[in-house]
Amino acid sequence: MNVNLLEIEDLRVIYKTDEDTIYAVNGVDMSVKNGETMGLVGETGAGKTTTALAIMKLLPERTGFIKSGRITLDGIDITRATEHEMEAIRGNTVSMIFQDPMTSLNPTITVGRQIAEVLQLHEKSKSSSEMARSVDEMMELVGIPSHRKNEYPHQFSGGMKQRIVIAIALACKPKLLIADEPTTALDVTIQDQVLEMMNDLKERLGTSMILITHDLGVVAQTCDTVAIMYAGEIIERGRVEEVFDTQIRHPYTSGLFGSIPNIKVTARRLNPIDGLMPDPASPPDGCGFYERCPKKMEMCGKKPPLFPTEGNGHAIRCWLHGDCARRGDGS
Amino acid sequence: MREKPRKRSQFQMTWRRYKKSKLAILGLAAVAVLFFSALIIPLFKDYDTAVEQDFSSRYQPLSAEHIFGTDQFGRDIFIRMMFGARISLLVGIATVSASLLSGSCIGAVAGYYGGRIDEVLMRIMDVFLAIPNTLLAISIVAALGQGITNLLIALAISQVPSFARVVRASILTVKEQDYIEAARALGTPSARIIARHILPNAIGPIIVQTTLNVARTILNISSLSFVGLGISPPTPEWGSMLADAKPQMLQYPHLILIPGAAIAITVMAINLVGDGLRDALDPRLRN
Repeated sequence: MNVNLLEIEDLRVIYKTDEDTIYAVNGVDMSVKNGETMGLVGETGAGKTTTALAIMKLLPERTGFIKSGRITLDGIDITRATEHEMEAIRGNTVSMIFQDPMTSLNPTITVGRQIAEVLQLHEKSKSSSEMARSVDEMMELVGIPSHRKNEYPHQFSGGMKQRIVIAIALACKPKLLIADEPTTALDVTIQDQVLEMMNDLKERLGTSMILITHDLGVVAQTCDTVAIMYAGEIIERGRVEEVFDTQIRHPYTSGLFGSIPNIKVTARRLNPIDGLMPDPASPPDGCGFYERCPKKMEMCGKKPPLFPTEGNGHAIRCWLHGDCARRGDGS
Repeated sequence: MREKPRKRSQFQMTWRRYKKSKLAILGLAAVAVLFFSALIIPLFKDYDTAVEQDFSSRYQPLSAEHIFGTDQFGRDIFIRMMFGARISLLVGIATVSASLLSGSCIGAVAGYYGGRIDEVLMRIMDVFLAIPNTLLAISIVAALGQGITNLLIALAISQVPSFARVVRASILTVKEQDYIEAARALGTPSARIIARHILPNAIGPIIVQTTLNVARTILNISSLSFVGLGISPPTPEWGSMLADAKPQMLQYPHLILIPGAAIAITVMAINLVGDGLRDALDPRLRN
């Protein structure tokens, strides 16, 4: 049970355009265990989706490149896999759910046939009656009556479409499900239902999940571990309870928590984090958060902080904390 | 026990929107009548009656025996018109199918793969587009020599670029859609993505372009035949009938009015169908 299903080591992804090179992901290390849900949190442009696309090897052709690093999924090195090998992996070992359910279904094909298509691609040995049964089963599993399988996507509501998208993603019982802001496009009540259903299905099928979100509430509700991304780096990670129930945090994480409205306290204003992320075309020498950090020190602007080398628990990439602080003093 | 689900396919939705336009229905009716009569005429009249000359009955006016009268060689104009419709539709559909097929392949490859392949293919198409359609057809006929096969080739080649452009453009828009990315994320191979996910969603503009091109081809055949480069007499072709009637047009205006009207009505009807389809398939008018 304690085996790492996904292991990412020092992943660097760049986007090359005519004008400049965008450093989207700058040395990400992370791992997901079997059956575990990891929350990947960060603001827009932090590199969350890029990391996910790198795992799927679906970075935009001709512009997106994995510059270095290793991604090991279920014992296979993704970075070295050919496109043909990836076709067998995608949808079968790893599935991805995209942000907007309204546009991730093909409008010209009935939902039942869209679910059947994944099965046709990856479970070729199944007979057509077995496939039809699997389609019904998947639809019932996500709470949609199976007699609606001959309807087209436009005949469903947003929440139901997202359920169908989830049914397609889970049809081949993948080992890892990457959900890229699966509930952002839905309203709050539906969001809750969908998340609960995903949690339930994941337990039943034993799937691991990477949940990309910028909602810390969603993380608290569904995840086992959390990784916080900023400017293409993971700046803090740990078990959810370790990160949520402590005052020892990365200044950026503190900022994130500070910008959540608290119903117990009367506040006139929320506390957003001032400033913007550094330009990904020219990353700074030191810590990426230096410009915006309320606790910055002189050395922060000169040398990037490192993750603590030992231990698997709560880790913070900041000169103020733990291992990092000690090593900083020594040098 | 299970109730039958209401199935509303894209075809049914398109038809529902198409019906709303009276002009489009009128155009469709006209095209249907034309097709039907062109299809069944050989059952009633021999092709020979359309070409055999009968000098005892020249220049007859409209009558019950000869609905549209007869021409300077005593041939029944109605029968010639009907056989002419066969030729126009046959040539129109054959050339458009040929150019649709080759144009789609070029456009699909250029659109899906992009990059240098796209650049090279589309610049070649641009060269063809820079030459006016009819002029290009005339030069090809002049180079290859007259004859129906050469005419077909000339007309088909001159239409390939328009199809390549339309197919490429619609593939480019569909290619960026989320459900294409989602299909890739499920491990769908490229060929299957093009066939099952891209083309069905890009088909709207292609259908419209096909319809409009059929109309344009019919017009082109007639123009080429009129100037003597198309289908040569005695074959009953609307354009060559116009050319034959030209010297007598002041004395016998019906000789020129009937084929002229036939060309105009056919082209307009097909264009109306095309416009109706464009409106019905326009995604901005959905729901």
